[in-house]
Amino acid sequence: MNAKKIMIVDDEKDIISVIQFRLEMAGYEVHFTDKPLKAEALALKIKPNIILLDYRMPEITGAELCMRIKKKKALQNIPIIFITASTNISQFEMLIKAGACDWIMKPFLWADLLSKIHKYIS
Amino acid sequence: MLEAPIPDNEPSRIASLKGLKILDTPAEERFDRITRLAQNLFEVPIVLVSLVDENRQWFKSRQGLDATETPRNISFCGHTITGKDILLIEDTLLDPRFSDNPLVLQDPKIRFYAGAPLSAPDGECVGTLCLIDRKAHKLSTKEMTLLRDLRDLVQNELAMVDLATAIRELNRTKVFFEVSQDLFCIASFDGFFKYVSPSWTEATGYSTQELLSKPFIDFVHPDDCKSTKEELSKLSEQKDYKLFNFENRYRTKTGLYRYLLWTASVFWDEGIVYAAARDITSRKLLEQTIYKKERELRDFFENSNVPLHWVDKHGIILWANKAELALLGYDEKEYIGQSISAFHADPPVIKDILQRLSRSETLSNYEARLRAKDGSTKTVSINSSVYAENGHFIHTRCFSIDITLKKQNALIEERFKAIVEGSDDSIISKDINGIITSWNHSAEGTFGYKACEIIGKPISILTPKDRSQEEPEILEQIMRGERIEHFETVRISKDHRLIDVSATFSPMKDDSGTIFGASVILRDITSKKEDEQKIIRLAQSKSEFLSVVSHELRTPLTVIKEAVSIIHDSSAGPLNHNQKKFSDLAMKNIDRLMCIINDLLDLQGFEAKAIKFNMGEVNIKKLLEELVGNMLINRKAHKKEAEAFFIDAADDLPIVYTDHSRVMQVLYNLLGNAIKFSPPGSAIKLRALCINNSVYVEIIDKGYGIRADDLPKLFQSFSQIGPPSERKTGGSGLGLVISKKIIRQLGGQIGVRSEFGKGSTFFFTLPLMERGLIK
Repeated sequence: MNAKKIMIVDDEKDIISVIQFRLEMAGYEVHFTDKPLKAEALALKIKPNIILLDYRMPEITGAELCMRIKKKKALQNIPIIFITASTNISQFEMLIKAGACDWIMKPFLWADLLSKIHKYIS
Repeated sequence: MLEAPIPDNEPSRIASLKGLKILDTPAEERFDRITRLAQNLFEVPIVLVSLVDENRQWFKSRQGLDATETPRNISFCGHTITGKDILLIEDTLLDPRFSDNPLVLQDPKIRFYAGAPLSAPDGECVGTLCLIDRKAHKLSTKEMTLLRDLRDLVQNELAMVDLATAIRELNRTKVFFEVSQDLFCIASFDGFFKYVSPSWTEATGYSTQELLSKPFIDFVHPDDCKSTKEELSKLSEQKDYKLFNFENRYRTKTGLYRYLLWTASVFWDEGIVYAAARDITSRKLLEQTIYKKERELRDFFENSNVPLHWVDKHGIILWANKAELALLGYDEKEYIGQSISAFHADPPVIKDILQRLSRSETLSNYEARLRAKDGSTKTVSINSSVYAENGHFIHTRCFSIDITLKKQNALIEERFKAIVEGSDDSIISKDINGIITSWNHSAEGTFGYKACEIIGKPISILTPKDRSQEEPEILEQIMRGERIEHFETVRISKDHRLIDVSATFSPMKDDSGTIFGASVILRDITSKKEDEQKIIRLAQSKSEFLSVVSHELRTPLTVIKEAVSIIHDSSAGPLNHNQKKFSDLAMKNIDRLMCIINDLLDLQGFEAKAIKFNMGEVNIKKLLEELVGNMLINRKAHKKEAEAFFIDAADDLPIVYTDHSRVMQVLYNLLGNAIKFSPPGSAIKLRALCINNSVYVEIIDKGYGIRADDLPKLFQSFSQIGPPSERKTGGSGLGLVISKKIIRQLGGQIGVRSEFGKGSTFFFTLPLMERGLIK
């Protein structure tokens, strides 16, 4: 059985490291990039089952990236979960409008993240 | 020579002669005719009508003699007048009385003299008719008789002189009667006028005939009849009675009456009354008018509302009007007759007043203080002068105007003015046409106009063009008697600076309640506005700061937490005892740090009102079950001893429209506290029920409880209670504060009941509101 593919986009490599470790331990195939502008290309290449997207990044915001991905026919059905440090509820509403299916606030409980991923992949 | 002797009746004789008023008058034909006749009849050269006064004999008529008079002492006639009949001297040379008389020895060389004495009508002998010749003569009896007859003719002429005079006098008197304005009359005791002067007709309008035809009492005013009759009877009964200055009223033809002032005398022989009346109507009317005026004036002063008194030269009050008595509260008996000094509060002042008045000075607006009966002091402005007659001090006339209130008002006004002038606010007044009537010091500073240049100008001068509509609207509200408070607007200064102001407009009313203008207080809030802008900018910076902090702090914390967590749960390989112990410690403190950061961010969010609620339908029973489930998982995850949680909620508990996650946050907080402040493994009850229009939720523990003193501190920031040893519970100390803010904003209440040592019950309510009411 092929493992589910998860793509992480975050400019902080440290975050990627800990999430990658956890997800791989949980049996997922993890791909990532810390260069948001390369995220689209990577997604087209690996066709992930789910994308975890940081909100606040240099070069392009998570929301803009989300909208770009959702515009690509090949990618538009991939669920996107935002990982954000914000507590601003209006921002969350904006993310949903941009096409995200959910969000999780930093710092998060590992169990919460796993349960959200599980919810959208299955 | 024997000089002519002086008769015994000389004075009356002289009086009688003078009464004839004939001495020194021109010659008259009626006398000359007789002397001429005698000259011819007796054939003598000289015939004289001689009148003898004190010193001479004067000839009224003379024939044959040039001299008009000769001295009395040498006169022959001086002798004649002492006798009753003719003095006849036939030959002077033979008569020793006259032989050496100069008139015998010299011209006219009298040898013969025959003089018949002349009597005036009253019988006094005043002179002679005498015949004189230069040769001796005899006179027969017949001739003597003829001389007497001629003498009688002369006497008749003398009498004629008296009658003519009398007629002349009478005519003259009659003229007086006719021209006099006084009313002359003659009346008889039968009660009728016999004669009335023409002035009667003029005064009464009745003709003489009408006046004479009726008893005179009929013309007298009915009220004066009695006194008139009394006077008449006195006149008729008392012989020496003279009526003097008796007054009565006579009716005129028009029916009006005229006042007459009478004097009268009675002619007893004839039984008639001579009376003169003076028409004093004008005088009486004048007197009445004066009397009326005086009464009016007196009444005016008596009832004037200006206090007035008179004092004599010793300072004793002679009279005071009602207003003066009312001013001081005394009655007449207590005031009049007293010394004015007793009522003055300042002895030197009244002393000065009296001294000035005694020097006849006039006092104008002299200020003094009077003592009223009730002990109060009245400040008065005195205007006083002295009334004098022929230079003698009679009394003072003193007006005392009560200025007590005016003084008090002036004082209040002064204080008020000081407040207005000292105020930092611009205080302006305007009339109902919007014209500025006052302008304080602060207004000068704020707007740059001096009071003298802006008073009288329209207040719209301060209004920027784009707000020109404001002033009429404000005026309209003022005229309705409304006050406008803290109206924030913009005004313009003389140098065209725009000034933010908070304006308060109040209508100004007079005693009758009529609005005559408005007071305008303008507070310069330019700096306040700037402060507000600063605060807004600060809040924005704070918000930006929080946003940055939340990201910059949370991201590394997430990494730390996950990294430590991977080690701690042995995902990265098994741990020895110490590794396990210290990674445990790290995890616990990472949780604590997270909790503090989250609480701080929340609190800041609430204070900045930046927190938005995600409202939705919430089933409280399910929420409690979810809470307990999560808590159990959490406790298990932390390998803590699980508490016994009991949920007590009805299945049909109403659905609440609220924020699920925020209510959950509150419940986490309250349940977390219950766990923290209870011994491990104790029972905690969660209860929810519907009370009135709210869902009531409570969390009941049987833990340590809270001291009564500490209860008020519970919902305050950073106020963890209890001794430090008991505070090993972790947390920011903000949990309850945040919970309170959440519940309040969701429209509910939060509170606690507790008994120290026995446990606590935290509760909150959530209103059962319709969708959409909470924003």
